[in-house]
Parts: sequence; C-alpha cells; structure tokens
Amino acid sequence: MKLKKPPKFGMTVLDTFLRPYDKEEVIGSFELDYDRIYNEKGKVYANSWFWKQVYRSIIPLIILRISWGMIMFGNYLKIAFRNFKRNKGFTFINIFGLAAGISACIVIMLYVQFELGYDSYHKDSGLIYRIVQEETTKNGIQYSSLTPSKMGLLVKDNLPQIEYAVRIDPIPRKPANCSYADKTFFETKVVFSDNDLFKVFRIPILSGDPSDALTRPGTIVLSETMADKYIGNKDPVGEILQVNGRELEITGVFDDLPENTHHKYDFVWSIHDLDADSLHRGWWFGSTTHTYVKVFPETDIESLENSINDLVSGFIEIRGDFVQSRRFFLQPVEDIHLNQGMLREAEPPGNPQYIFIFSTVGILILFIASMNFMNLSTARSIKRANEIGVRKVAGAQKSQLFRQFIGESILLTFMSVVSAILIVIILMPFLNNYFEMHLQISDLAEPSNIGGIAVLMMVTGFLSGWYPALFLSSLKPSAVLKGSVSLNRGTFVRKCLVVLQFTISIAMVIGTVIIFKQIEYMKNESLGFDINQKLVLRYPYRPHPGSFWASVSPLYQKQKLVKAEFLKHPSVSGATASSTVPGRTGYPDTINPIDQPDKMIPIGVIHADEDFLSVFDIEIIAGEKNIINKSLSENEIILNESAVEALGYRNPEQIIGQTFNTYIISTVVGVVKNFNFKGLQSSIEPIYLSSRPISNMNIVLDLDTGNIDEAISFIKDKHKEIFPNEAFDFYFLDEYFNMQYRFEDQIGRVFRIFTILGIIIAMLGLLGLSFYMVEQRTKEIGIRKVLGANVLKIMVLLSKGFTKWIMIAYVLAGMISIYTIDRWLRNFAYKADIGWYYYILPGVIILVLALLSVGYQIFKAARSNPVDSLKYE
Amino acid sequence: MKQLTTIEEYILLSVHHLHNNAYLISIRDYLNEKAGIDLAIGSVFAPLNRLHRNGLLTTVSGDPSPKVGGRAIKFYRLTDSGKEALRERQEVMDTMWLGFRINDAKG
Repeated sequence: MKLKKPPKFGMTVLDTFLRPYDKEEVIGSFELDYDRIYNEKGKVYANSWFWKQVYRSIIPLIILRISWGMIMFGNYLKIAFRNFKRNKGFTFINIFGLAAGISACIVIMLYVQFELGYDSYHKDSGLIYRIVQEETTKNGIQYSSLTPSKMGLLVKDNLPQIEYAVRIDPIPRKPANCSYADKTFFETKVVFSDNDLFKVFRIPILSGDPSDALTRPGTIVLSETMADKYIGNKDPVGEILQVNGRELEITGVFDDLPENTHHKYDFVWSIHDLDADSLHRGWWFGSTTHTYVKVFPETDIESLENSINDLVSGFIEIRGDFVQSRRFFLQPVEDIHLNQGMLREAEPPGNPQYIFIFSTVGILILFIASMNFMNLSTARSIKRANEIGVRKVAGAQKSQLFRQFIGESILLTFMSVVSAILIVIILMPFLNNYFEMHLQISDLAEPSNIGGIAVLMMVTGFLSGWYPALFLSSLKPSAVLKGSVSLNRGTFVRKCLVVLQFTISIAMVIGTVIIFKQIEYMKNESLGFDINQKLVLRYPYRPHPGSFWASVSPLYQKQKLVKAEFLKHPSVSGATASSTVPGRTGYPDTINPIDQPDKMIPIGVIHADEDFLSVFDIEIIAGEKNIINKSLSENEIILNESAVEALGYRNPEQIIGQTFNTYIISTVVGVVKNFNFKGLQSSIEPIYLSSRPISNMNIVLDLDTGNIDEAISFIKDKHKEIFPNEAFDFYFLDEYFNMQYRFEDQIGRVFRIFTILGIIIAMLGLLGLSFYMVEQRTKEIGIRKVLGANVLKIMVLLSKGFTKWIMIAYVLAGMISIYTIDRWLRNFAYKADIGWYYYILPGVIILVLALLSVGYQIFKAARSNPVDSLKYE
Repeated sequence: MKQLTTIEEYILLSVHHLHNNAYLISIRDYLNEKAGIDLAIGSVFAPLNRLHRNGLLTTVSGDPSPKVGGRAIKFYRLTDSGKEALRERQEVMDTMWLGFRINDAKG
C-alpha cells in the first residue's frame, strides 16, 4: 500500500536539523505516524497533527544537533592535537611562520589605523577646520598653516556659520622654564590658547571648569601627566605654577591627549597674556597662530571661505614684495596629518604614500606566510595517507574528511593568530621604540579589529587549507593501502608556491636596498652638505671671568690649539670651529645694499673658520676657488644662493665684490650652493658666512668610519686635558639631524624589518619543504649510491633542483623590482646612482641562505645508507 | 553517575517494559498511554538519542519491513549501564519516597 506522505516542506525543515545518521529513524517515524493518522482521521487532521509535531519537535532537535556538533568539534580537536603532537616540528614551523606573518599584519593594521585616524578623536571632528593661507610669492605658491593672530576672533564674531574659533600659539622658540615648589623643568610642549579650545576640540577636563579655565590672563591648564609630575597628589586647581618667571594660576587639568593628534601639548597658557604683546596686534608680523574653527553642520565650506577672505581683505597688508597675495582656506582637521604641503606645521606630517606601501608590504608578507602554510600542510599531510585510507574504508565521506581537514587548518590558523597576538603584545614596547611609533594594544580590542582578525583567520585558514584538504580527502583507499600514494602529486604546485615566495622575498630585498640608497642619497643631496660622521663638541658661553657683562665660549683664543690636538688622531680627518651647526638656527641679522635700506631682508648668520666649507663639503659656485680654505677677514662674507636671489641678483658671479650693510659693512667674496640648514621641513633661507672667532662655540670633527669609539675616547681625553672644567658635551650631527628625517628613517627601518621577516618566513617554508622533497627521493638516492655516486655528487644533484627554482624566482623578482622601482624613482627629482650590483647581490645572498637552510638536509640524505632506504623494496 | 532527568528515566523504563519492541514511535505511545505524557516525535527522539549516545541504550536493527516503506526499524535495548542507572534511581526513589502519604503533604 502506498504511504501517504506528509507535507514536503515540513519534512525538509526537519531534515535540515537532523544528522544524516538519524534521518532515517526520525523521518521514517514521522511518515509512519502520519500515514496512520491520515488513514484514521483524514488529511486535514493529519496535516494539523503534523505541523503541531514539527512545531514541538524543532527546538529539541536543534538542541540535540548542537550538542552533537559540540561533541564532534571536541573530537576533531582531540584528533587535531594528536596530529600536531606527532609532528611537533612541523606544526611549530607552520604556526610560527604564519604567526610571524599575522603579527606583521596586525602591527601594520594598527599603524594604518593610527595614521588615518589622526585627530578623529574629537567630537564632530568632521566639523573642525583649520584656517590656512595660500601665499603667492615670487617663488611660486606656498602654503602656510599659520594665520594672523586676530583671525580667530574676527571670524567668530562676524561669520554666523562658525560656532567656535580657537587660536593656538606655540611658545616662542626656547623651551619654557616651569617650576612648582622644588620641581623645575624645561618644557617644550607649551602653547597659548583661549577658552574655545575646549569647545572646538575634545579635551576631557579632569579638574577645573572648562567654561572659564582660560578666560583670564595669568592662567594655565595642564595635562594629567604634568599635574602628576609637578603637583603630585594635590588638586592642582588653584595652585601657582611659575613659567618663565611669571606666576600663573592653574585653572584646570585635562586628560592626556591621544598620540594621534597633530597638535600635542602638555600645557595651555591663556592667550590673553600674549594679546598685549605687540607681535599680536598687527596683521603683517602676526602670522604666528594656528587658528581652528568649528562650523555648524551643513555649512557650505566654499562660501564660508569666500566670506572669510572678504572679511579679512580689509585688514591684510602686503608688505615687501616677496609675497604677492594671500588667500585663506579651510582645511579639515583630519586632513592635517597626512598633508605634506604646509609650512610651519605643529609637527612633521605623515606621508600617505607610506600607508599604501606598508599595507602592500603587510599583505605580501601574509601571502608568503600563507603559502608556506599551505605548502607545509600539504607536505606533512602525506604522512596521513594511511589514516585516511582506513577511515574511508570505514565509511567516512569525502565531505566529512574535507571538513575535518579544513577544520584542522582553521584550528592551526587560530593558534597562529593567538600566538601572533601574544607576539605583538610582547614586542609592542620594542617596536614602538625602534620605529618611534605610539601604537597601543588596546586598539586591538575595537570590535572592527576583532572582526577583521576573525575574518582574516577564517580566510587564511580556508585558503591555506583547501588545497591539502581537497587533495587528501580525494585519496583513494585502494591506492593508499597498496602504498602507491606518491608525493609527486601536487609537487608542481608546491614548487610554484616556493618560487612565488622567493620571488616576493627577493623583490623585497632589492626594493629595500634601493629605497635605502635613494633615501640616503636624498638626505645627503638635498642637504647640500655632508652630514655623516660629524662629531660636534659644544662649548657654550660662560660668563667671562673678569668681566661683568660679557660671556664667551671657552674656545675663545684656543680654537687653533684645540683643533690641532684633535687632529692628532688618525681617524679625525677634519676639524672646524663655528658659531652654530646645521640643524640649529644661525642667529638673525639683516642685510641690505649700501644706501638702500628699503631693500633690507632678514638673513641668518653662521660664523665659522676656514675649514668649515671643507669639513662639510659645501660647494662653492662663485668666487675664487681658494675660498674653501681661506681665512676670511672680518668684513668678508660668503652668501648662499638663497641670499643672492633674495638680494635680486640672477647670476651669483655678479654679486662677488659687492658690498652690503650687515651689522658692519661687508664685501661678498664667494657664493655657496644652498645647504639645507634647518632640515628638509623648512625652506632654505638666506644665510651668510663670515669669520668672527669670538662667536665660535662649536668644534666639529670629521671622523672616518671604523674605530669611532676609540676616536671618541681619544677626543674625550684630549678635551679633559685642555678643558678640565668643561663637561664633555658632544653629539653626532647625523643623529641629531635625523630627528628631522625621522620619517624617512622610520621607513627604512620598517622595510628592513619586513624584508627580514619575509626572508625568514620564506626560509622556513623552504626548510619544511626540503625535508619532504628529500625524503621522497631517498630511494632514488639509495639506488644512486649503490650504483656508485659519491656524497658530493648527490648533494650537487639535489641542490640543482632547488637552485633552478630559485633562479627562476630571481629572474621574476628582478623584472618586477626593476619595473616598480623605476616607477617609484620617478617621484624624485634626484635619483641616486644605483649600481647594477645592487640588483644582483640580493639574489645571490638569498640563494646562499636558501642553500644553507636546505644544505643540512641534503647532506644528511646524501650520506644515508642505501641499505636503509632500499630495505622495504 | 550523572543524574537522569525525569523524561530520560521514563524512556528507560519504557524501553524496559516494551521488551524487544521499543522504538521511537512505540516509546512515544507508551509514554502517552502509561504516564500521560504527550510528546512530539522530536521531543522523544532527542533524549532517546542522548541516552544512546551516553551508552545507556543500544540499538538493534530490525528487518526491513514493508510497514515502514522499506526502511529498517531501530529497536532500543537497555545496556548494562542503563540497567544500572535505573537501579540507582530506584534506590534513590525508595529512600526519598519512603513512608510518604498524601495526607502528610497536605499539612
């Protein structure tokens, strides 16, 4: 008799929640009962009965299914761990390699978030803008982030779109001397601002009243760290802090700002104290302030900009003829950090290109690591061929096995991710230090990051695992048990993967080296002087004994002696005395053609002796050639290109012999190529060099490479001889200067680290792989030995295989890197001269490393006893 | 040994009483008839399956029968563990229920 079947849809629903094993029982029972009731009570009743049954059964069945799922999961875990234990070495290499790749990714992820999220900390950061100026000058257009002081108040009072406006003035050059009770320190992060600071930016106030903390003159607020540093446990509000001799009332304490804000300050001094200062009254000299505004939502920015310009046009005077016109713009605050076009930023900006580069590098490393993972998993799992054969015979489905292997892969990935996170947590302080970053682990806990990592884990686990899983679950039991599963299947794919890994590694090494060269070149080139190995000894002014008002450097009248003594050391190849060194400002003077005071321009001064130009390798472009070592007389000066231009001369030759008013009357005897005195961030200002021995307070020594420590200790001893009472105050110019190039330095370091990482991971992969490749050929080796080949011959034979693939990788890498580097170098006006050996060397090095890492395996295999390998034939 | 839930206890007892004729449907019907417990098929299956998983019951495949449209019925039997579990439960029940009268409860 034909069975009456219950509604199909309901059966499908049930079917979904049953284990395959239980389906027959449960479905069968449903059908049986349904049929019975249908026959007894008819269709309608049967259907209503059926649906009620489904409704009441569903939840218990789901729960049952879940509990089974958990048990299966537990079993898989046990099996997986058992497998891991059996292959400890490989599991470790696998996890370590992948963990290394993932930690690199995590760090990069944090870095990118940090950079991109600059200044997003503030509430409604999308509504906060900075007013910046575009100046059209004789040299072209330049942008400055500074505005006249009164700008903020003016726009706020007159433009309804602006809700709040705040001015921030950095403290003038010297650090502020702050003291409270017995604690005195020099602080550099002091700014002036008004009360709207708290309205525009999010600055959590821990103590004090934000509505009037800075409204009165003579008040100051400080960060929590500073409050701890100076005040300690008391409530700082109401206390008096002495700053540069003035007594200021502390009216508030704010929570430390996050590191990714572009304007970092520890102290905010009420700007009303500055308003009285004449510098802030006018509009010409007054471009010293950073002005920020918060606009109302849905403000039309362009029309606001126009309004600002209209408003301000009545006040702006254009003096002198360097700047031809000004226009003001609104710059969104979040764009500030990654914008490199501004002059006079609060801190050096970040470089958006680097964000892109690092992301790419991160992905590449992860790619290498994943490929590794895939390779090793495949190779290792060959050993499990037997297990699979048996299980298939016992009834395991291909899909079941597949899922199990994917699961193992994901489990390994999970363990790698956990290890990676641990690695990142442990290494974070060192990384922050080495790369000069300020990343925080806590940022990892953001839901978006956790989600991202989880996705990364699943994707990596799946991608790395699908190939071996597929391969294994497809093995035929018959083949396995007969013993004819060979490692040859999939070898080609694996070899391709290794080639790809090495291609990437080699390309990265080449890239690193070249980038490094280019950056070094840029540093030296754009500086216009040689900054390497320059030891600077400072001899600051001391009150002159016997004179009440004069102070003088200990070097006075001793310069020649001192230089001669230092030069005695073989590593010291040059010495010069000067008033200042590159990186520190020359003191300001003015210069104008005689009888033309209206053509006066500001100019910086460096006093130096006759060796300055040669020690720093500064190029003379006009004047007598012997200027380089000539001692200038008091009224002879050497100008730089910038000065020549600013004085209106097209051709430097023409200015030779001309006289000008400086603080005395001087004649120009030479012109030097511009050297970047203050670093890449500032434009090159006019400078003149002259000789005034009494001003010299620095000795700069040119050291050869090698034995630097020894040289320093010699110099120190000499110093003690000559100046028994002076502290040995020294530093290396390039280190000091490199603070300006912090950025490029960072890049270099990052690249180095990531390249090393990439190489390590690739090596690991090769190591693991080689083990299996060699094992696979044991029989072959055994036979060859029997036939008479010696150890060396066999080693060569085995190595040839590897070498061939690495060569291919190298060629590919070479092509890729040549192409990309060429494109990258187009960014730079000045290209470093990169010899062809920089392209060859990395390949050779990597080849050697690779051979070393597989060398041991090969050696062992070559020496193996043929008897062992052929025993089982 | 882990405590049996009430329904698990009844299922084990049903299997015992049904001798060699205990399968999903018959167990459900027995529970309904003897204990007044009206459960959906799935609601019986879940604890039944768990008992099997935990080793208190074992299954025996019946002959393919035309009744079920060609499928084999799974019959359940008590295992030694199952019997042990029932014995323990009985002891506990005896101890707890000892001397209980309805009248006492009303007090």
